[in-house]
Amino acid sequence: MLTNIKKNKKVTIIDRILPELGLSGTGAAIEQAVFFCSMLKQAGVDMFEVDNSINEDILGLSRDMNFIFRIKSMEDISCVMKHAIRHCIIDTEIPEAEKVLKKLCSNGIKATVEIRAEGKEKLLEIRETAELRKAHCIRITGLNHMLACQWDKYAGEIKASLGVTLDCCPENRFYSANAIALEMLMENADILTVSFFGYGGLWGYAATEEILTAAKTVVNPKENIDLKNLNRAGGIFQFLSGVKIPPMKPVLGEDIFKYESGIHADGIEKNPRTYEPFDPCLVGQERRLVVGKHSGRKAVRQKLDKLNVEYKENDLDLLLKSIRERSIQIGRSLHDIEILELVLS
Amino acid sequence: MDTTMRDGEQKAGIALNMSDKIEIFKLLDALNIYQVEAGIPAMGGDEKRCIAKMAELGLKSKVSGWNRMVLEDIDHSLDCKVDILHISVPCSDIQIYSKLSRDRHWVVENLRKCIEYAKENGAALSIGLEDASRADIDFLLQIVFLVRGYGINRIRFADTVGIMMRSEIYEAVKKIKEEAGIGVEVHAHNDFGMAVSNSISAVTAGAEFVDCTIGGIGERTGNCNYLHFIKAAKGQLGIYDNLKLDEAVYLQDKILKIINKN
Repeated sequence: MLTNIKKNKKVTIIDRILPELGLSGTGAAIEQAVFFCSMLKQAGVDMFEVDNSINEDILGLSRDMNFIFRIKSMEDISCVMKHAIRHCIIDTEIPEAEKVLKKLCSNGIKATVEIRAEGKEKLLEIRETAELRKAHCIRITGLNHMLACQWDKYAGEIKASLGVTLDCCPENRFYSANAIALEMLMENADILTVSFFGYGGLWGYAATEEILTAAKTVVNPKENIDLKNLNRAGGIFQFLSGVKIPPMKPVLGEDIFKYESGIHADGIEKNPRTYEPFDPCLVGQERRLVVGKHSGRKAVRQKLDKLNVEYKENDLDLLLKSIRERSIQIGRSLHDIEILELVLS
Repeated sequence: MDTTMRDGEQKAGIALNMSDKIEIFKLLDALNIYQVEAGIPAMGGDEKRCIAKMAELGLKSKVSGWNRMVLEDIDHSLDCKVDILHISVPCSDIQIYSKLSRDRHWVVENLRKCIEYAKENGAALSIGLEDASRADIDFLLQIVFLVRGYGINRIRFADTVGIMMRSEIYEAVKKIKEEAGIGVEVHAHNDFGMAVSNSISAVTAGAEFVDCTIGGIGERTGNCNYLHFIKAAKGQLGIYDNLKLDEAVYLQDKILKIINKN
């Protein structure tokens, strides 16, 4: 759960990745999935979206987790009742959506109705749709065309008009999902639906780990969430999805806390905050100095100290020149052994 | 605006040689990039020779050299005869006090010195507000007014550690435009996945220039990804109708092959 410090209220976080991972099998994948969920729960995720494609063992093994079940047909309701799931989500496009909604409500299950909205016109239409009052919550997805400062006004009007809880699930077609999710965290959303790695759907969603880390480091440093296992969660995600995390991926990428350029190395040595948005340890990563074409004297000195190599200050400039030339020659930064070879030569 | 060969190449582990950079420059020119930030002339050696060579080619894309607020850096850029000399000014207190061990007054006076020196030597300038997102807006405006007073018509607003929300960058750029009437270039980093949305937001606030890199490469999580920005601008702002995405993809892929060859 995150805090909207501006409005002094809590915001629930739902992660919708599980149905995207194809967890219908058994064995190691199921155990890993449960472990993955427990790490995300620690990091601030309150609820996980599931559907009838997921092996029910996950629901059984995760007694202390909260789920929201995506209903695709009337038959799914029996699974919801069997596992005592108290929250469901239905797309207005499914057959018998109204009947399903009625049955859920009559069983005391909180129903979220999911509607896609790309622009102002659809948001206004939602605001005027009286039948939606029957739902406990409206999840608005899409939002690909909403620019800054545009849609919060409509979000507030929808809540006021329909008396519902509002769940915001922005898509990432134009790389704005994170921006919208964070705006809504600070404004009118009661719930944010995100997905680990932004995974799933046609265009992806706001990325859970990026939203949680931004919430903790930028929005509200007092946020009581523990992000240190996010990096481990990334490893499990790779195993479950078969997708390799790109090296520059925010929060999870293996290269994001490597630094080489002389100016950055100097700044980070004096105060890491000069060039880091947050301490890498916060998310289970560590910073790493890399030596190559863009290194300066200080970085080389730091590296030699770390390698316990004795050197004369007068030789540093020559060594730096050699490092730069070698780096350009091989087209990358140098490994420690290559630096040592240059020192010895 | 492209900074693949400056901020992009600063991504730890990338080391381009002269022929790589010249080839990339030609491909960027084919993309009709207005200005290519070619690198840091003060690095000397091959880097400096390469930037000078690019400036000599006389292609459509302007060539700029990146400089610290240091006279010797400026001399190196002047040697390269770049079209535009960019001076980066640390603006946040954390950069001024922690990195430089100076104060705001020193920054202002040193900037004056650097601008006057560069102008005396005939340089066309742009000024970068480094770490603008964590800087005091009044200090930023003080720098902007100083810059405008020297007849310089563009500043770069840099979200150096990628922490800005898009509404914040919108308000900051709007304020600078309204109060100083100067050209604004936005330079966003992607630490929370918002480099593209922040760049779009800056454009809606009036920024006329957007720094991008091919593949979004750059320090840490990188910069505003060129292709992503074009897609977002087409989809959300309805601009760049004349830009053919498949051609951009083709040229981008060629550049990425050069960058990733090792």
